[in-house]
Amino acid sequence: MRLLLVTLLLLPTLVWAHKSSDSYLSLSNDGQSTAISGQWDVALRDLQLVVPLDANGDRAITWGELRHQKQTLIDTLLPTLSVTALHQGQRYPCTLHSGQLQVDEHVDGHYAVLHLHGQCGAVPDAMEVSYRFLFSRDPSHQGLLRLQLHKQTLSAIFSNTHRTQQLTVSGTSRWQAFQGFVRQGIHHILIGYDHILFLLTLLFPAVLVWKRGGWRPARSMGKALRETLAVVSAFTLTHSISLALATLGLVTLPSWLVESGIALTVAIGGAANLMPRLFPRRWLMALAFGLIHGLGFASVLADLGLQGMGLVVPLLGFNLGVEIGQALIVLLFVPSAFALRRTRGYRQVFVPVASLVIMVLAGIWLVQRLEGSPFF
Amino acid sequence: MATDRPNRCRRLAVAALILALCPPCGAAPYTPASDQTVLTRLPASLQTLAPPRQPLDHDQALQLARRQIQQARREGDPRFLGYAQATLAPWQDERQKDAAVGILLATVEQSRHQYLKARDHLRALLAQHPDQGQAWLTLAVIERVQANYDKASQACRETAGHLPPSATVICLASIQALTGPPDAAYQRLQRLAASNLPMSPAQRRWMYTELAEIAWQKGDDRQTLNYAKKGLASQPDDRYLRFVKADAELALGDNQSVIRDWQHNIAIDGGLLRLAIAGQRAHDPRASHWADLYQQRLQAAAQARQQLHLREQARFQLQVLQQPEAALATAKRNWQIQKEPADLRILAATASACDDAQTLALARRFIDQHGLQDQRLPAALRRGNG
Repeated sequence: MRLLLVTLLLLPTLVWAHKSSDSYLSLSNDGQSTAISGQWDVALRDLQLVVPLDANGDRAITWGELRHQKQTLIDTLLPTLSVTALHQGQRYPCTLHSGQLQVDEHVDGHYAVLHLHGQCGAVPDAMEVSYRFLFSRDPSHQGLLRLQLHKQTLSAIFSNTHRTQQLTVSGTSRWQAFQGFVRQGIHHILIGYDHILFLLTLLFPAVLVWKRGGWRPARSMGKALRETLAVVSAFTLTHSISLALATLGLVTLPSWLVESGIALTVAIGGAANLMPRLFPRRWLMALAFGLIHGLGFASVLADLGLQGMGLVVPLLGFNLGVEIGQALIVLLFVPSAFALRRTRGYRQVFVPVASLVIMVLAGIWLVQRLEGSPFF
Repeated sequence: MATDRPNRCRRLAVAALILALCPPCGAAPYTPASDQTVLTRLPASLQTLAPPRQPLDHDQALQLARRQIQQARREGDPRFLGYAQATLAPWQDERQKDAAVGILLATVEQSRHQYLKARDHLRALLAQHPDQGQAWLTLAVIERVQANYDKASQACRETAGHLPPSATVICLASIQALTGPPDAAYQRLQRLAASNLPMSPAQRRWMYTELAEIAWQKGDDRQTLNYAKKGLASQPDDRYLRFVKADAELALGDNQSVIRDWQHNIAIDGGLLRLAIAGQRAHDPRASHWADLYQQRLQAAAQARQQLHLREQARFQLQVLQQPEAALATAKRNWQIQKEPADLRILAATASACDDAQTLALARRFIDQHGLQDQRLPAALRRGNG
């Protein structure tokens, strides 16, 4: 053990790594005052490129040599950094000063540490930081920022091509979270083929009318659009309601029941196209069955274990995503179906065959999903 | 090699302990006791190879940038790559017209493992300057790293007529060795080594590097060491050959040579890694210190979002920290970026340590697709014993 200690004491002059050029900048604001404070660690090797530190030219930089250049360092470094407080959309440039110079050790050697303090003229709810240090001498240099704002730690990396960045506390993260949930919603409906198939079975006949025992093409785009809109709005309305009810915990059904129910609705959707006289109003089906599909969507959010107000953003985002995904499907399918509606292929082959296939497929799912129920 | 691989995937307490010592997150700043305290010694190279304060003329800039890149490669010091970029900055926008600048900038990108960027730039440059042998050669290396062996061979063939014939031979042999039994390529290079063909010292070093790599691929530790030493004769500080030599020594159980070569040279990450492995195997009291240092550098690199040494990081996680799961994850990330035999080896080694059938199947498909024969792969993945 003593040997280890001895070697550890001997090693430090040799241990420095070769590392890419990074400076470490930390800034903080307590969320109540207009003051900011922080420190900026810059590698001596990097500083040497802009401020001559090795006064006696012996290739060794001593604390004395560094200390004597303190004012030059401050005058050189501070103008390459600008900090702006953002408060309710207004910009408040912050002053920056440095009084104290120290040193610190990082993996690639000693760094000069400038302690920073300043005033912003407003309590920031966001910050904009611009960083221009060293890029002209070393374009691969990076500034690594850690910003402490309203008890959150935000980080950013400045590079030659990203010199200015805005850091926002809640807004950014909430907005990003919201986008994440929108994407999840889109993803969920696009990979959840049971939802897609259900919607499609309802839309197959949207461009047709059932007359004299056979499908006839709808006379106008307007009629096809009205039918599509009725089906989609009805489905959206009820699945949004049940999605919200289930996510908020007001309705709970076992998942085997929900999943089997969804399979059943798909099968019925297919059957309805084969026996259209028994199902004259498709939007009513969409309205009723949307409730079950909404419960299915909710299972995704339930897995996240969110509670209370934390649910509002995910719920809205996810629901929006589902509607976007659904709109995509409708926009892809309905125009092509409308274009093909006069062909025999669409009316006499595609609609019945695809409906039959979907019905059989959904029947198989139904059996499989019921096997997961307590009755088997 | 197989003996130090743990059989099951488990996380050891050692790792957690090392992770707790998080240095880049900052020791506290302090005021040195005396004005005489030496804080840092500037490398001698910084005097001559610092980025220029005033723009240089074109030829001076090329010369300086070339030396800066060489320095970066020799010492593994990435700052010099940035300096080279700064030196060439005035001609940055003419990189497609100005072949010499274009090649150097692509070399900087390649050294930073930005292979796709470098490849695209080189292709654009070669569309205008098909007579640039050096550009074809750099492109060949990049295509090879990406396992695009047909394109790499094609690029090698394009060097003929623009570079000395030995360069084309080495280039082609280096690819031939990866796409079938390596013996033919091995003999071709051995014949070249014995011939009197004129070669620059750099080319000769490259030839010995390829010979050492093929010897390694064939499972011959002694010849690997032998060729690495021959290559180092003309340039003892060639970083890559020093790594090859250390790996051969580790395979031969000669941990002391590795410790002797690297204990005073731990600025170079790859050297420190091999030192940590050798130290651990030789029960050197400094072994855990070296492992800690390497861990600290990984953390600093992660903080700066640098992913330069994923292959070596995976090796560290597997062999030193004995965290095969983490090593597998790193090796997979590395495989996204580069696909050299060494990348495949660490991928296969970590996958078999973790019984990851899916990744092993991926490795198997790669081997079958290209016909790679490599004795350093886990036994189940070795092809024909040729």
